[in-house]
Amino acid sequence: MDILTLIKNFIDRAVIISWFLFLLTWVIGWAIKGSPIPIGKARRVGQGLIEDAVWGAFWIAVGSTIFWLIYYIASMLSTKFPNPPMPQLP
Amino acid sequence: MSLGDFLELAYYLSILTFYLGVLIYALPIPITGLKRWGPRLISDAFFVASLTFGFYAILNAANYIAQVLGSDWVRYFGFLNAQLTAQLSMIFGLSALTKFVPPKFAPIISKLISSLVGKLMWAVYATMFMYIIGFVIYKDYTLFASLGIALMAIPFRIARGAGAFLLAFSLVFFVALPLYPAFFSMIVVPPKPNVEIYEPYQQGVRHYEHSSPILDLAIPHPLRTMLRMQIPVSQPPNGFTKLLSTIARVVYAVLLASVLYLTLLLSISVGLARALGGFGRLRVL
Repeated sequence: MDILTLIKNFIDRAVIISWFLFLLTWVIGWAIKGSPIPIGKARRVGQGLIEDAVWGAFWIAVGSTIFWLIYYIASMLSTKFPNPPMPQLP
Repeated sequence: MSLGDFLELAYYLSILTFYLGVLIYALPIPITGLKRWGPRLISDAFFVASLTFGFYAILNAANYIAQVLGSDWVRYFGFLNAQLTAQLSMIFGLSALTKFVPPKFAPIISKLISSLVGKLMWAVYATMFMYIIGFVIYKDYTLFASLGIALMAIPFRIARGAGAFLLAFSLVFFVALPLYPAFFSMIVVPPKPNVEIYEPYQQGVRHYEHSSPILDLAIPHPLRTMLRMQIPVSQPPNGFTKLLSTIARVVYAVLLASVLYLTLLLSISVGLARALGGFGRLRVL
């Protein structure tokens, strides 16, 4: 197995684990937030977990789009530069 | 591995970094130090992806700057070749001198000449080093730059400093190393706008004179001569001392110029590497 295949395998696993973690964090966050524990800090932790899960899901969803956008902008910039001006003596 | 392989590796590593960042973002562990790695890894991945896709734009920009500055690799290698030829011919000439010395003085003279040749060898080493580093950069600067980006793309900023330095090093040296002949001539022959060397008034004494246009116009010649500041410089007493001073000048000029120039370029490379986000420490928690 060459190194690129290894990295691609890692990427696939990272994507799958991220989706599962998003679901898990989302559920745990709501469970903590909705639990009948009258401690404000615990509720804030639940809220934070939900927010993080949503951000994670957002980044998984738009990640490939942003990479494509970077590719598009960079390919526009990769055109060859014009020749520099040569100073002419009078 | 070739240039394309390194760029492909950097691209896939940046995607892996991105998804690792997302994974850390989505972890149900509310530890701030760990969670901070999420956005950090995501932004690193975008940065490295921009560098990877903009690789040819960066190379074109470097090439453009090099053209504007007037760097010329042919001139650079020609200059170093001429220097090497001069140094080696001096060494051969000095070595050949021992054959013409009477056998009575041969041990002393050969000792002296071997010491001079040893000094000259330092200049040869410095010139050879400049030649080799120039050759390596000229041949493979794109490979070094792509390897630098691939190193920067390793997740968790493990080799980010090394990668940023390699990228900055290859770009800076590609642009600025061919300007070495100009730097050398600037160091060895400094410009002297207001100082002129006049013919000696007396035998064996040379005067440096500071002349100013106002002084030259306003005051008649004999008085002007008296007013000029005179710095007597003793002339070399004989040819042998002249030879020694020439060799010393050759050795120290080459060593000083090469060390100064390489230090200057390395400092610029370190600065550029810092600007590219290098030398970040690995902080897990």
